[in-house]
Amino acid sequence: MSKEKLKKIFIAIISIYTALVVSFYFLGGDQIKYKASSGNIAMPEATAVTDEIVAGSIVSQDFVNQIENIEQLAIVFTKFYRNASGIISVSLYDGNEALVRNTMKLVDVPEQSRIYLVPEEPITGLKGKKLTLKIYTTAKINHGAAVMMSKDVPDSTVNFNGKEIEGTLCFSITGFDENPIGKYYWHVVGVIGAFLAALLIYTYNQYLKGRSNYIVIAIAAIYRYDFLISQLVIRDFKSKYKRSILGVFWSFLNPLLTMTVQFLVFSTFFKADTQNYPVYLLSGVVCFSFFNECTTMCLSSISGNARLITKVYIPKYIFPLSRTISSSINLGISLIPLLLACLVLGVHLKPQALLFFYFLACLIVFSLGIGLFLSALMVFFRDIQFLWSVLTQIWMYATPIFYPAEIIPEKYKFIVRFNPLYHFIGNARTCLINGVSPEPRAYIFCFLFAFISIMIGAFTFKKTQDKFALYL
Amino acid sequence: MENMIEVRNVSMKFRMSDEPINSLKEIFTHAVKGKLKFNEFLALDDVSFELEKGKTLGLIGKNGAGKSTTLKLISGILKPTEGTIITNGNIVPMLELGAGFDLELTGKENIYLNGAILGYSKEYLESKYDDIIEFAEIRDFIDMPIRNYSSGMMARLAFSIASVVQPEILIVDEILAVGDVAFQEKSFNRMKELMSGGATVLFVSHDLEKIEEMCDKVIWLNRGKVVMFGDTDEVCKEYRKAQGIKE
Repeated sequence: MSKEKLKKIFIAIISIYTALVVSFYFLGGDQIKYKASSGNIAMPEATAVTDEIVAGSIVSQDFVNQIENIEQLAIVFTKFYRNASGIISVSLYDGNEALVRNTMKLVDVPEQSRIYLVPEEPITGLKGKKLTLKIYTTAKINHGAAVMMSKDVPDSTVNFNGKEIEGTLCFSITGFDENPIGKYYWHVVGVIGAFLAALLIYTYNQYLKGRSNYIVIAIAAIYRYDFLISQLVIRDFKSKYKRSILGVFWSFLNPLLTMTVQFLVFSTFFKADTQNYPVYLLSGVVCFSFFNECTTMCLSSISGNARLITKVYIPKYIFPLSRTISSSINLGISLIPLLLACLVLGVHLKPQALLFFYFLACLIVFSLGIGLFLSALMVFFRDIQFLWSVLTQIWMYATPIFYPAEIIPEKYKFIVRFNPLYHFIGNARTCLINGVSPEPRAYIFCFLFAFISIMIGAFTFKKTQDKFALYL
Repeated sequence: MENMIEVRNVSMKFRMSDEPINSLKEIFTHAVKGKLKFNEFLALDDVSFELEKGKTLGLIGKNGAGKSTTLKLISGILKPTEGTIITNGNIVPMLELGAGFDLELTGKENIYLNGAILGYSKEYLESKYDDIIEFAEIRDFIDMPIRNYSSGMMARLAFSIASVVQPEILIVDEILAVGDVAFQEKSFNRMKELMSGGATVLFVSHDLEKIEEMCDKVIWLNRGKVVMFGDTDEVCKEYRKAQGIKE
């Protein structure tokens, strides 16, 4: 590797970093400056119900607000599955001042599903204050509704016509607080950038002095083997589609067909709860198919190339790496139907949709890490191929792909929180469908998931690779 | 003179179980039965030799003597259990021809794929592309998937790709006998050309006459140990004696 080339690469790395942090600042927008409030109150699970609310009755509940900027309230009614009529009104009060109100016909109130109160501007400056949620109606007896309640929440009471009842109404309140990361964004990226620059300058000097260095070795390896990797990727593609009539068009068609089938099956269940369900579904299908294909292809990449590995010297990581690259290209192709679906189904694509690629990149690195780990394991335990196909099935059902994340009961939510795929797919969807950036924490989490995976994968692979030739 | 290959006190142990165990179930059942034992098999035992630049070294010995293991160690496919191996220069191992051929791809695509596997650059392959086809005598079939090739055609193509380089170290494991008689002679000449072109060669063969014709030095291995290492005539003479072959 020549001095000039190395210099060019390092300058490129620094410029890419700069470009990324600057564009992220603008794309991230408010989400960098604010984060979901720690004072959010989640919807409790309904275990009871108030008495029927009819004309003249007032239901209210006091609570202390801990949110800096209130964005949304939700509340759940039941109509006892009857035909209700009249008007119902839900309001949030600060003392005697109504902050936000939602008045609607009872006919339009959905049965045991959320009704939202959304102020035009987020309500600010009420952190630490006592607020009151009030509900009244014009309904006649047997034509009214009731609010779902939970008795599980301690130390809270509901006021029903002046009478105190133990428990809480089923309501949620969400908003955002100022984010300390947002305040110090430029400080943080500046420090990271300076560290990166220092590392590269140090590496460059080491190189000039003729000392070996991991970064230089890695870059040299990429340049040395790029032709081989490209040939292996081309082979994957050519031999995959060689004798099929539609050829590479299948990469395009496959996610669309999967989505259509799942859409037909699941749309009646989940359509109402989800904004733009087909796009939600398709983005999940595209991401998970990639994960599935990539890890499964990596799994057999070493054992399947046994003849090569025992006869020619090639760095072995080339095999899982080239498989990951071919799967990523496949992913790129399947983004075309996703884009088309967005346009056809009326998703308003904003510049923030570009942040989608950050999460895709994390997903790719994460899959490569798993792939390295599996390919090494496969050499020693052939059973892993069968285990893995079961595991991916379980993983698919444990990830909100065709169902919305909200339907998972609170007590099982922790499973989803530790599921990296949920974070990759969920955040990617937020960028694409809602056109907003997730909060900065999400970027850090996804980065960490990818980083830990690739570290574990690379470490396992490096530790065991010298034994591959003996076991193949 | 500069040593191109130095092998110092190299030992290679293989762990061999009585039955092949490579699934969880088998490991589990064997562990339960208390049979999870591995026999250690010493494929190479304290082998040392070195080879100067431009010389050709022949490896002889019976099956299982450790010849192929030695070649694999030098080409970097295996790592020695003990000892060190130093090589100076790019190695082209011709241990098996056509490793990595993909039957679905055309001859042309396979030239690039196999070339890349052998470590050639794109530019180099492009410049040698015509030579390869010419030598393999398959110009009319080059755009055809190689699953339609005869085994002779495939072997010729594989040999042409492998032998188109000017390697500094060439490792050859009895692959000269490919194709028909005419092509065998052609490939043998190509090998001699490569060897006389300054390459350092490691050569395994059971054909003592070929060894005598091509090699400067010979190493005789038996059960992983060096029986003799020296000039070709001397070692071959002793080897013939030991084998009871008349001269």
